[in-house]
Amino acid sequence: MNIGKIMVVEDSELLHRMYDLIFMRYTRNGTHIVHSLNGREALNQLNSHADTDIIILDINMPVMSGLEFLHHCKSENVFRHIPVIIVSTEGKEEDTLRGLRFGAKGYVTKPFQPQDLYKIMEDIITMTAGARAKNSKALFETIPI
Amino acid sequence: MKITGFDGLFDDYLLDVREKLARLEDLLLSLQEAQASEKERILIETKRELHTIKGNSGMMGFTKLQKLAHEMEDDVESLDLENIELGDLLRKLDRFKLSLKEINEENQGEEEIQDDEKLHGQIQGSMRVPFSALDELVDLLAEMVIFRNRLYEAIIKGHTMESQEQAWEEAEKAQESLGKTLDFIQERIMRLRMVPLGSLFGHLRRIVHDECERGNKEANLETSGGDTPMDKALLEIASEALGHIVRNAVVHGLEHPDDRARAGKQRKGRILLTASVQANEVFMDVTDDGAGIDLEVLAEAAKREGIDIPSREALYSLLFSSGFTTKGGTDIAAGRGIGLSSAYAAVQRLGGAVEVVSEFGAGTRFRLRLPLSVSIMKGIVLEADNNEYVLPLTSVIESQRFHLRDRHQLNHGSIFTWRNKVIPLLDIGYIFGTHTGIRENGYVVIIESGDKQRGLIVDDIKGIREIVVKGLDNMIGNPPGISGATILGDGRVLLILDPPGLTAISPFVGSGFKERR
Repeated sequence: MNIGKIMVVEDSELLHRMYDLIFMRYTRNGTHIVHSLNGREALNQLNSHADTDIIILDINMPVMSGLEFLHHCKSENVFRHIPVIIVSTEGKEEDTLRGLRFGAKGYVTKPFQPQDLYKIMEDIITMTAGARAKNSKALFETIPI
Repeated sequence: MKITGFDGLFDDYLLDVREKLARLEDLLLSLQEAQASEKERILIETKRELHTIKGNSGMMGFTKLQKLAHEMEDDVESLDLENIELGDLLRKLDRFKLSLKEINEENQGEEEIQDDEKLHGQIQGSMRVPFSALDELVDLLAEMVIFRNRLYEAIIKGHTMESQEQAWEEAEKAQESLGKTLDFIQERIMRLRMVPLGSLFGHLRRIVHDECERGNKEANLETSGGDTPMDKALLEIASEALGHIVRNAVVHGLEHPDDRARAGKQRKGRILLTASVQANEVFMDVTDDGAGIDLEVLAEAAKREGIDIPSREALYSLLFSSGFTTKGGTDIAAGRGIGLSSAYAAVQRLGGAVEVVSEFGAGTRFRLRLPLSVSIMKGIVLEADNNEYVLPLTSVIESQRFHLRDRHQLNHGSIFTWRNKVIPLLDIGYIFGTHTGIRENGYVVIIESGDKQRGLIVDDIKGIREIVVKGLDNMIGNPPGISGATILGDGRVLLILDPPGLTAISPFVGSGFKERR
């Protein structure tokens, strides 16, 4: 699968290094990974990375939590279309459910197997790509020539 | 179930989780003392640290640790903030640390750091380095390559051109730039080795907590200066020394709550740890409001042991001598022997010091002084019998010419008078077996370590150099009077003299030399 840009929002630097390993199968083909240590940093970075294809989001983070980030992200027209996958440690299921209600497309609990993440990511990207193609076509058709 | 593919990250995981555990210990133990308004913030951070530990351990495939962290999360969740009971949590924390150690040993067979290596300021394991710092170093290296090339070109010019003056000038310029960049690199690398002192606080709080429980005492450890940077190697030494000092403060310094109340003090004892950087040293003060040290008792004990004490300050230094005890005064200094003395030896070896000030009845302050960095230091190069040695500059008080007539014989040793003080002389050549008999003239270098001075006799003083300290090979062991070696610019290897070791050598030696004690 061809993915242009993945944003990882996660406060543990160790996890960032794990994601680097997990996403090697994509980065080998030129996928770019943007690393953010908390929600605020991620929001700032989104401004220069609006072309992000998918966001991997942790919930429990200092400065700005994943849920807050999701809320801000989904209320911005420029970013709301970017699919978000919540990856968080089991134990706080109510937060995860809230995240899904806030507009996250999927969720994975730690610890997970890389295959599980690949599957859900690729499904979601295919889905959104299809939806966007349809949307842009619809948009095109409504413009009077 | 182990998720494969992350084995390469084990060191990172270990470093990360150990840091988090230390922080967790600090947070948990400060929860007891915290103001109600603070408690909420501490709890949130505690839970976050635990949650991350749980997640990361799970991702690494350490299910047992993941479960333990989960249990601890539950424990934190059910803490009664009005009456905080940490026993269970701390035991689980210990179990976590132990399991981690076992996993580590299984994984890489890492042995615990040898004491010898610790003493020489060498540490194993890893540390965290920000990418930006590495980038900066790479840039500086690139600069060095440019200056090296300029130097090379200047040399070629010098060989081929008729006028060598311009070539010399260019070479000098390049050399100067090279030196400056090197200074920069040195400074940056030294900074990379720095870690905040605050990373020790959890460990110290734990000691206070455990000792209070053991001795039925009450104490509060207050800390400040946690962001004081320290060389990682020195931090290990500081950790040990501060551990002994803090334990000492609870066990021997603080009185029982009832006694404190009778003396008109708060039932709960107060231990204050402050740290600050002054010039090239880190000062760490541990102050307690306990019973203080009774100098009379110390003096009596010294008398009993047949130790001659010149001053009040010297009495305090008895606390650090191995095996010294005041016997009769069990509540003051009993049991203080080995621990404090070994920590003290390690501190001294690295060029640090411990100072004590105490007011009987009101409290004691231990001041731990350590140099900011151990790996590079200034030394004075001495020559005796065509052998050169380096002496750490921090221990040198003065040096002067020396003539035979300044020397006085006393029993089997020599002394001389300096500023109305009698100072024992040590001939470097005699100590290291390159000279017998008495040196006619040369120089005397006055050194000080603790409260002891010695005059070192040498043939010549060659000047002051900045040296990079290398440890001695383990096979050589710890020869008295030598702390390590260094390599000079011309490739020669010089031994580094060890001032505490030298001052411990009895000046009154017959044949050969013995350590005192």
